[in-house]
Amino acid sequence: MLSPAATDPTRIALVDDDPSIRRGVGRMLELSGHRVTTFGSAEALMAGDPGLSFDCLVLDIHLPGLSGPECYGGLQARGDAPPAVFITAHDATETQDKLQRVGPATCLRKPFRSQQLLEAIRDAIALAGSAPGGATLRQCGG
Amino acid sequence: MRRLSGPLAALWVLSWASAPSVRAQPLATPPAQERGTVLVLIPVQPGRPLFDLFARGVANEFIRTNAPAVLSFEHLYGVSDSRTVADRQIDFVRAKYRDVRIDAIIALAHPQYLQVRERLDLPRTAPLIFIGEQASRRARPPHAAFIDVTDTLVDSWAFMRPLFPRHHHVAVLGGSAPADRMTSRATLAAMRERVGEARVIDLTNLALSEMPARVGRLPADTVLLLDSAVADRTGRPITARSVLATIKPTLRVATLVSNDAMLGEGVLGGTLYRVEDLGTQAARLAARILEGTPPDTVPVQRLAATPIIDARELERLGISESRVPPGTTLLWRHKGLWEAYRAWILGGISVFMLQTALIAGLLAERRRRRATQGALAERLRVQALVAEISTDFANLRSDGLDTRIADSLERLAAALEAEDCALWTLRWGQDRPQRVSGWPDTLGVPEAGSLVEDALLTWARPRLERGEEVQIQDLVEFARDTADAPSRRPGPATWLLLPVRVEAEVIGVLTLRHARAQEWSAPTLVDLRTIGEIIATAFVRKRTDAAMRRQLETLAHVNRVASLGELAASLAHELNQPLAAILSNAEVAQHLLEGHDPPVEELRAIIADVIADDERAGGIIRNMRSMLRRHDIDATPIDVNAVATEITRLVAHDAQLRGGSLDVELGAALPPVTIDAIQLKQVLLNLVVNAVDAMAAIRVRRAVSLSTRASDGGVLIQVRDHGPGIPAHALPRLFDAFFTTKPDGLGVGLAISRSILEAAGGRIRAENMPDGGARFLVWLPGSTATSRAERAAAPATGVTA
Repeated sequence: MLSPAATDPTRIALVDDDPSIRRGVGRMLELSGHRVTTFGSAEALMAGDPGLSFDCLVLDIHLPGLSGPECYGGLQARGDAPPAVFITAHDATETQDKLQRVGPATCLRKPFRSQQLLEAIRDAIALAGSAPGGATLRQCGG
Repeated sequence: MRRLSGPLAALWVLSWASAPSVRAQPLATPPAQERGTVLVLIPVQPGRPLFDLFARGVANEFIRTNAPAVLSFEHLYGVSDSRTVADRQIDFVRAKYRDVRIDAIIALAHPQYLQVRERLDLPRTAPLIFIGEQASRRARPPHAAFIDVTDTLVDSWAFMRPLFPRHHHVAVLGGSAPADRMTSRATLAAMRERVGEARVIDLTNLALSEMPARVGRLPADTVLLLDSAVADRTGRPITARSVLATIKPTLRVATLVSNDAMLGEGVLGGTLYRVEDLGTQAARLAARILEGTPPDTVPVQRLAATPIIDARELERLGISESRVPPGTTLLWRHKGLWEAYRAWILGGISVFMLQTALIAGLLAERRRRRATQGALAERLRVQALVAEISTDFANLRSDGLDTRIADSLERLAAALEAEDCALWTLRWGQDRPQRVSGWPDTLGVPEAGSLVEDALLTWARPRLERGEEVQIQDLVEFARDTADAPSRRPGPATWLLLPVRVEAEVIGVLTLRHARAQEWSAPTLVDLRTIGEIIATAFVRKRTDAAMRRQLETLAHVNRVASLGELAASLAHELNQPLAAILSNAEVAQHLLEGHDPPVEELRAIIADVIADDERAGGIIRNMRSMLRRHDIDATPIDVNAVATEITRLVAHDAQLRGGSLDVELGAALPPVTIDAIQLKQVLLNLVVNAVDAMAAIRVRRAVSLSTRASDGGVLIQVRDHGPGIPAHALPRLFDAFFTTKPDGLGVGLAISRSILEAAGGRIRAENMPDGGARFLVWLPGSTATSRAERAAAPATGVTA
């Protein structure tokens, strides 16, 4: 169920090259009480205002230019990687392989229910808080 | 069902065939007088004076006497001594007159014409009228009459001798063809006998290029006799006229010729035959023979020549007019009008008187002459149509054939003033004959039980299959239910059924309906058969093409399914995106609706997004389904850029998935091209998927580029990859069916792409690039540049850009 968070709104960056996804998923996250900033590409996220910091990233895997995992790898390398949830419209095994390279993370296969994404975000943030870097890889589409 | 037989129905039938023995006489209507053909053989081409003057002489005489025959002129032999050329000419003429009844042959000068009946497979009994120099010295074959052109160049020289009191030399210039040598030998021998060996200069057996120099070296006191010229020593075809034109710059001496065809061209003259008179004479003799005089009983006729001299030449050569032998006509004298033109004025008066006499005769026979002229006009119309229709069908794409066939039949009907003109199949996998095309268009009107179908099913069929024409005269109107088919209630009619052959087999029938009985001349029937065969060939081609297209479409379908299979991941991605957006939006809407006072504006925006995403998903499915479905080819003008954009959407994610990318550069102001959109999509899909595959093995990947631009009145599409390139051994076979370099490839993609493009008038080409990789170039003609000429001309340069 969509329910606004009681505490401070979680700051979420949504990176997807598909404007429909940005609108639909963005709208859903806002309604759930999150503060959402959307980006059309990984480059746009990385070039964003350094003052902006996010509690969680929602990253599409296949993006024009830098892919989601590549982007996340880059952020991890510069020690600036908040927890992340990956989303993808593909279900090829290649996708899994790519994710392995950036360490464990949750990956959701589109289309997903709102609840799945909200839970994934919550888990990612919780796990990052309790055991940094200890998020477990969950099955894409799970 | 109409009642076909019964007391009210009567069929009168007569059939025409080439052999007179099988000709049936009609029962009661007076028989139309059948006209046979008089074949006129002339050894030079139309447009040359000899041909035109002789033909005019023959034709005028036939028209004047209204001889019951159709004239047909053929140029045969004479151009070259090459056996191959002669054989080809013979084959052509033989085929043309295969089924024509030849009543007589008029042959001018060429000795080979004495055996022409054997060569053309014509009956040996067809009378031959041969007209030529010294004809009486030749052996006369049976059923032949001769007109001897007695006066030779030697006689001419003898008559004109007073003009040349101090001329000691005589030169004989002639060709080297067998016919030339025969004539020249006789001329040389006769001259040597008259003036002695030393004074005769032999200018025969020369190449045309040698002639000017040899003529230039002639002593000033020479008289040049311009003799027969069919071919020169090198075998090059020449004519007396071309010889004269060549030697004219060096020609200083008096030149005598033997006919009037070259008078006024810089020759002095001689005792000449008017070529037109030869034609007239031959036609007169032919008329006697057509009237029943056996040719063998006609004694050899001799034709006298007229001495004529060009006065300007006299002046140029410094010969006094006082020396001109009495009785000689002087032309182009620069004197008084009467002096200069007396001959013509007198001639004019006699022509006028002759015309008066003719007019009387013409009036008397006006009706019959009209019929002749009508037949001539009809022949001309039909021949023009043969030329038009054969031009139309050449190079025609198969998708235009239906219209062209119908159009040709309509034009044929118009040219012959027929009420109905159609092509029927005798058999095509089925037993019933079928009207496959015709004017007027009777689509949907049942042909079963029609007069023609009945005839084709029964008595007429064996005759048609033997290649005979059949005429049906339907004299009594059928009693039929007018409510059943009021518009098709014909009056009395006469039908002509012409068998049409394709590859030696009678496959169909050309039918023509007229309200009144028609007289069909044999040559017109031959021309009509030719038209019928052109149309039937096109029809067969259409059927064959359709079968081939069906096969191609099956393969194309397999190829589309295969290439879409390769894109399954990409398609799933394309569908999942809108589905994900829809789901999120729907859940938001559901939640908002649960609260108090739902925000209507926001809900409206959400629903609009849902609808847009749903449409997007639907479009992807439609797109995919259209590719997967077997469909009817629908070539319409389309925008190449729109198709390229759709392909990009299909392939981009797939390329990305495999670590590649697709650069698209769409040109501006592209003309529309006429092609089936799905087929073009298939071609581009094949090329782009191939290009992405080609890069799969490459470590450092560069984008596959797809670009379009306007080029040569059409659109040039380039698909470029940076893969390993096409192996040299594969290049020549790249577009062959079932050729593939991919381990799991079908080998049909490029073959199908090429077939699709060529069917649309386009071209495809592949090449390796100097800086690595390969590119495929596709050119499609613009819809605006639809003329076949442009389409044929453009591709040659279109794909080289």
